Amino acid sequence: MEVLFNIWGAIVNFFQNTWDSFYQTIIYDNRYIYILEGLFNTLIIALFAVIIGIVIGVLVALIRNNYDRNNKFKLLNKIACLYVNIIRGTPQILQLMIIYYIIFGTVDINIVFVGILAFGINSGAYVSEIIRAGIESIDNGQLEAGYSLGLNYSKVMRYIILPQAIKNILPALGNEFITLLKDTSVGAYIGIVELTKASDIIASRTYDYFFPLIIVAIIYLILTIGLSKLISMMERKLSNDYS
Amino acid sequence: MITVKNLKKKFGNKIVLKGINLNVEKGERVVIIGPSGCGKSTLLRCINGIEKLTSGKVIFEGKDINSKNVDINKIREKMGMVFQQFNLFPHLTITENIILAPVKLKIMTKEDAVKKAVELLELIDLKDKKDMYPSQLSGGQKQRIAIARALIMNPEVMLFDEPTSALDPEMVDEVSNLMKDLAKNGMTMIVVTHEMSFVKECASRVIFMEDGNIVEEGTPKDIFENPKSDRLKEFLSKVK
Repeated sequence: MEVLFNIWGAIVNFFQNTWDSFYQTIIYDNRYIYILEGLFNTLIIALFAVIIGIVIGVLVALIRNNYDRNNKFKLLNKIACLYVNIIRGTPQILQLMIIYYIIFGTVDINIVFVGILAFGINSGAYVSEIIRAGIESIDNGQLEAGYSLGLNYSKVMRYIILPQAIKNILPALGNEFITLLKDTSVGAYIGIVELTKASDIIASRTYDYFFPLIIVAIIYLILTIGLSKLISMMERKLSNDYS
Repeated sequence: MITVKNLKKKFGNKIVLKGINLNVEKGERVVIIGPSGCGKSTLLRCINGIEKLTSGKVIFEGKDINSKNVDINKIREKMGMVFQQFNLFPHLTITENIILAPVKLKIMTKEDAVKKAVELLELIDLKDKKDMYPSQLSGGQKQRIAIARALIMNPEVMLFDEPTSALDPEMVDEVSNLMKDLAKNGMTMIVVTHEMSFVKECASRVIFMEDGNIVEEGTPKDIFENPKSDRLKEFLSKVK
């Protein structure tokens, strides 16, 4: 009887402590607001960085492909290569710091905007390589058939090559976006209050790490799993179209 | 209509074409034959500018097609090309394949292009395939669609690069017959082929190439019944 009572007491105690911890770190003083703010910033940075990444990626991929195929845009191709090499050859955290502390060092600028720019520029390099590989995976005969009908390079790309390449590009692009979403946590280093930083702020106030870290981890998981579901839905839709 | 002057083409150190001179007039049906690797496909690809030449000139209706002042795309609109591997666009339906170029180049409205495509599909007897994708067609059907796709541009000349070489034997005739019909209707054609029935029936001139040079040329009768060079005799003994 006494044993049962002790066990019951332990259980009650455990839930009491857990609830206290949860209350202290999440509810007290409206601390959940940090997490909401962090989630908002993470989503904003990821969303706009993806858009910048795609725009830069497509441009760089087309410049480099046009150079490879037609020997055009010699100078732009050099710049594009340099850009890809620099971005892929240096740590992302360093790029973020260079942009924040050096390029915008003397300017008063919204730090979330700095994050968007840094992550977008970083993503663009990787996206460009993914798109370039996707374009190159399409049989050269497609390009030749397009040319032979009198279509120019940009029309061939737009109507013939890219619509086919997208099928090969999409899976790798999806991975890139999931990576980008997680990598926004690097923004914490320069003080962007995104999800990871938000959990860190709460933890440093309460000295209780459990709920801030676990909740934020779960949020990341929901976001990335949701994103990969969305991408595989798009893949399936594309592969149903033909073949 | 097409003049090739001293055309040379190198791939790295390998010289594929060693100074080709050729003149094709309107209404001619020139067939290029020769062993594989002799440069006949490369010659055809140089004529419509898919392959850049190393030196020499290709002149189409008075215009040097490699000149900076000439829009090669405008030239290609008038030169239909049919490839060994068909090169249909797999992501588009048959109709979309055919109408893509005239619509995107704003030569026809979409409605007119679709109407024309249906006429062409009727002509090649594939009207029932108009909403299918290339992957649902046989090789012979694909190649006939590829010919229709080139024809919708109303080309002045059609270039055929081994159009029947990738086909199963029983499908060769359907493509070959379509080409014969085109020839009978007066289409100017330059054809690289091993299909000797087409050569005998339709060619107005046969060119025998060997190792980057034109070795012999003449009417089908000259070439088949009275070959001069030993190399051509040997070649004919093998293909017959």
